[in-house]
Amino acid sequence: MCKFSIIIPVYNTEKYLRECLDSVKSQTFPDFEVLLIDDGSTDLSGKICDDYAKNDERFIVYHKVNGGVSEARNFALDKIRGEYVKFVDGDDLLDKDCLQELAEYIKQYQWDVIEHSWYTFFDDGKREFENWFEADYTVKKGENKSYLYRLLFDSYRMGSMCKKAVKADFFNGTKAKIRFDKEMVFAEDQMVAVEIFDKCESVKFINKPYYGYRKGLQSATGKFNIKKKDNIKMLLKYLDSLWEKIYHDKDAINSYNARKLDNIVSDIGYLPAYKNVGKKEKKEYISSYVNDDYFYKVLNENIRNLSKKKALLKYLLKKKAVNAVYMLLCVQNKLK
Amino acid sequence: MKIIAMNLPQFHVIPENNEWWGEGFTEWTKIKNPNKYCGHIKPQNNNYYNYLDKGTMQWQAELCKKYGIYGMSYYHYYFQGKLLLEKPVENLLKWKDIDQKFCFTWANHTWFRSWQGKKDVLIEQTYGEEKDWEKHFSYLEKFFLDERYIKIDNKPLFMLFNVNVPCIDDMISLFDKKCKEIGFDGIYFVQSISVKEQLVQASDKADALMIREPSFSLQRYVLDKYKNPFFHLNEKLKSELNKMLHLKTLIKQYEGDDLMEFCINDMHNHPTDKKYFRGAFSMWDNTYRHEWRGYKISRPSKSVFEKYLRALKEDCKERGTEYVFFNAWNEWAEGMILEPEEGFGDYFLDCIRKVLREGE
Repeated sequence: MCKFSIIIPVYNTEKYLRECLDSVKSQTFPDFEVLLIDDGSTDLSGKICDDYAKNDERFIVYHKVNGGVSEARNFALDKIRGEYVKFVDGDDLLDKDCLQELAEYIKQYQWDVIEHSWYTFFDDGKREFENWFEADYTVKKGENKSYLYRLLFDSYRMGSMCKKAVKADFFNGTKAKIRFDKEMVFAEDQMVAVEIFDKCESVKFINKPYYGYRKGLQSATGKFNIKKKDNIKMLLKYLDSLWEKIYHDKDAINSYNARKLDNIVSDIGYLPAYKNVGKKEKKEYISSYVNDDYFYKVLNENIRNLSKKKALLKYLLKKKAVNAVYMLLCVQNKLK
Repeated sequence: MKIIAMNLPQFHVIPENNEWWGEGFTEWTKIKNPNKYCGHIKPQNNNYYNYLDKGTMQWQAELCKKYGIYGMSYYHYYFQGKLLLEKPVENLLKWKDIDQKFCFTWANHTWFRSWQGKKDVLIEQTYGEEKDWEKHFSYLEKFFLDERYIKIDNKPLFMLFNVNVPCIDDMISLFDKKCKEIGFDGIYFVQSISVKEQLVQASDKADALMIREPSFSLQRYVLDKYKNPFFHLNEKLKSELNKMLHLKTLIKQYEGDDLMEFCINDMHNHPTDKKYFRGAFSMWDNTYRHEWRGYKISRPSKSVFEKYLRALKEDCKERGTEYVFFNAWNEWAEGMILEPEEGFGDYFLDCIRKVLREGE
């Protein structure tokens, strides 16, 4: 038994893996295990994992046949021995004091979930800070969760599993046996995050940026896949089922619709950048959004306080002007 | 825009409150024992703080800094020589390492207790004469001289809650003179106005008025709504029925969003020609204290509250006034708070920080 189980799915990240594993190895808090799941890497990643496991008994390697990141994570979840689970991606970084500070909060109160903040950085080390949740927000067992649900609905930033420490009870069957959906190509971590927040009884938010996302990489989300739209719909419908639980005020519906629009706009916003698919297919993808009843309904809602850019996109989408939408996205992509 | 938050020191035990309201009474007593009429706001993390702890004041000073609250206006209770609830701010004077800007609002009103239909006077607010005011000033002096005490134009800011003071002109003159004697350019005397009828009672010697919220705008809001005869009738009916039935559903309830939208649109109207500072509010629920006789203003949505703050910021800029007095930092038993709450976190403070940062 140890305090933390760190799950790191690894697939062909030889370039950044050592930096990532070093950041975990050099945690000031020592009581953790690392489950390195080598998901059938074809580069030196597997060997790097073996090196770390050889020199540090806290690092345990499993070499698997390639099955995707969800399967890798699920595989690890069957084997964890820690009290709390944390996920790290094989090309990212964890602040060296992260576990120490989380452990201190846990000593004061057995939080079900601790949600912390993150930053993004480039290969040259330069950082972009994103200290999003500045609030000292907590929910303790027995306290009203409705506002927590609002935070979950209003933004998808709480969807990442890398910015959390979650009690193992939610994975080992004590409180729940949550697993990642292998069939999803997108938002499978968000689905898990929503389930965790729905089932948890206590949460602590802290504003320290402990987790570093490496920028400028082609990741799993960076490949075009027509199933993305359906996965987004799955996530939103899951949230729909929890609608009654949120704190309702005049803003609630508008906030939620704005978030749904964000999901759509963000997804199609990637289209110009995809290199493995042609213009015709990209436009068909946009069409599939506007011809989908669920999303079309969102586009027809009156959403207040939209930026001019978003309002224009929404208008064009509503009018099903696919060519115009695609052109606009290309222009926006060039300006990025 | 510099926000000064009204601060109630009633979070420690004093012998008078023990005697008048029961052993161990503080503002938390009502919150911990809610009646069937009131809401259920609670401090985050079960932080039922004790104001005599240095940690409490340190924590509040840090919150002010974190969210951009300029300072606190502590309620000062002074009854012709007798002080009540004075320890926290006397401690603050000693604890010079606590970086908290502050000033006083003299809560000059008699304390009553309603009991079995009768009203008992617990302690009466009297003012005495010039020698009493001199004694009062000599108590206040050391606070005025503290570096952290808020000054406007080199004059210590002193606010008076109740505008109905017969000797006010002379009192202000004396305080002004005394301030000059200790190196200031006088006193910056502000009188707080709760409802429009009080405007005429304000002294000409006051440097400015403070339009206390939500009472001032609520009065205007209700009058505006009363133009609708159905509304007026409905309110009257509920009110009369409730005198007999004492039901939660018949309590006067106002929608926070609607009231704040009203305030935003009303802001271009000037309540007075004299110099004035605007007050602001978050929400209200005095059914903790007054049960079925109280009224409530519901929690505004964040977007409307932010809009309200922006309007206040704009108003400050337009009129060239810097300060807004927020009612209140910690009046838990009247539902007027900025402090972090259970379930909602730093709901109001978060909005304040966001709006203050805009345009930077």
